[in-house]
Amino acid sequence: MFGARAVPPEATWQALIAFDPADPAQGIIRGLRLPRALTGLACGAALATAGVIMQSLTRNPLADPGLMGVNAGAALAVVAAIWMFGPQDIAALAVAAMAGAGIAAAAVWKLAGGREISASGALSVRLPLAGTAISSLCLSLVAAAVLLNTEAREHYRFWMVGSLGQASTDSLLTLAPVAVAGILLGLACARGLDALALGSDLASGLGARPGLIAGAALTTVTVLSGTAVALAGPLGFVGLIIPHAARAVGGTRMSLTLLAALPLGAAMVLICDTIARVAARPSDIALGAVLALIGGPAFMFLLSRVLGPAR
Amino acid sequence: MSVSIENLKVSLGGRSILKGLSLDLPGGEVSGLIGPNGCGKTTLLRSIAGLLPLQGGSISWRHRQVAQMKAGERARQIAILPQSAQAPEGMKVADLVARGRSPHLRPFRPMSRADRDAVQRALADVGLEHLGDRPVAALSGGQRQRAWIAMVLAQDTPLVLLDEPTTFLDLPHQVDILRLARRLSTEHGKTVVMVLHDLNFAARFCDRIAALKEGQLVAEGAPETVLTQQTIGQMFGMTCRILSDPRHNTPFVLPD
Repeated sequence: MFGARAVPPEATWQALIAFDPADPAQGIIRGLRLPRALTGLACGAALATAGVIMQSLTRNPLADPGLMGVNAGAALAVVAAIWMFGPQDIAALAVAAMAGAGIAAAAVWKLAGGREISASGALSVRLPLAGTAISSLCLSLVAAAVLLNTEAREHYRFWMVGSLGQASTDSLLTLAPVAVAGILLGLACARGLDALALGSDLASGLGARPGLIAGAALTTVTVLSGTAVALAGPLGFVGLIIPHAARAVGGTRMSLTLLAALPLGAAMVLICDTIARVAARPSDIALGAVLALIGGPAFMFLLSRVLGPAR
Repeated sequence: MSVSIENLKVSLGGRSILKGLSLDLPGGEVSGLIGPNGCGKTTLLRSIAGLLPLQGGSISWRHRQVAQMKAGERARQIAILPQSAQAPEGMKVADLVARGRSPHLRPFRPMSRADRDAVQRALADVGLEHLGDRPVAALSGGQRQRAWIAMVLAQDTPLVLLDEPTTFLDLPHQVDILRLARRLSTEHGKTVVMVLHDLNFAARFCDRIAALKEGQLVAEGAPETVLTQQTIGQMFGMTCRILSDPRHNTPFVLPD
């Protein structure tokens, strides 16, 4: 209903229950706004889930799914694809982004020490270090590439802000099952993550397998944040802030926290995207910019709560 | 019904820590592991719990190799409380104790009535039944250690391993926790193995003591046979006198 062009509620309703292709207003709803809303829901839920898992695994309340190097890897892959094959349609860029995200995450996992390290409990220190190293490497390559190649710069500029403007039914249908699979894998890890939160010795003592859990949990993070970055480009703050709200609901039980994170993350992205579409009608503001405007201050507030008063 | 360790060799990060150690810890008793820092006490405890790969030798519990038990099965036989364990932020006491039930839960099923009863019993056993709703962080040091022991009780295993359960506690709370550890054996019939730093507490609260130095066994047996001037000299390179606690008839080590 909201957007550059106002669509009356009746038309929205009609488009959903009895679609009439002849009506342009209904066409907007079906062809543009519905996929856009669903893509937003998927990205929000995926990023929030990935954030909850990342913060639990690293025991760091300020960890972000981007720590796996996923966003930087996706950015590099997108730029490389444009450089090598010229401008691409959004579906091809999504595939490149997903591949880049996976490769970067695997490199971070390897650099951090893999399964052995997670079994010994040093993951919380080594993973952020490895993630930062791989991310900086990818981003400096991206910077070099966009400085040398004008075409890549133009496309990259649009991609890197993060937006749902390119959402299409096709890319959604391709990637939604991946997101659902990632969320289910995350839920399957919940009990293991609960055990791991006590430390790896206690987790083993309680019959959990720390290496296996950490591997599965990081696969979840990679799949979910990879899906989100492929669908909408890098979206900040959702995976950082929503886990705190979700923990306020779910407490120290991971299954409840994960279930709470799904609607909260989806709501944050949808609300911010609605603001992005109506704030400067008839043009769109990029979703990434709205998330940053809202998420930035929220993050500052969180930071002050997490760190406590200076002593 | 005992823990039997034969010719155990364990390395950590390429350094050999335990160098062919053989030891029998009888079932139903409280055994103490003592020795200087870095002698391999904690490594031995973690090996018994099945947390470390063995380079050689074997550890068996109730005539079964620990290394060959499946993770879940092992967790129903052996509980370990590592040194200075930390609860996740904001966790409530009852939730912490409930984590002890995890090896008994079926996948994707919530806790059963029996599980919740076991948690309540464990809380009552350590005297924390009224504090289940408090955050772990709000407890005093002694209460917090009781909460961890309740978690181990809820795990309901015949073998319990405690790594320096009294670290960071003041004297009365140390005594309190060690009494509790003894009750695990006398009232619950569990086999208890704990790493202790304080020799006099080891003498008073353990049925038997194993003294380690540089990954090898120096002496083993009842406290009065292990805590001798000779063994202590060998272990710590320290001279001392051995008195007798007139009340408990246990040896009392007084460094010179």
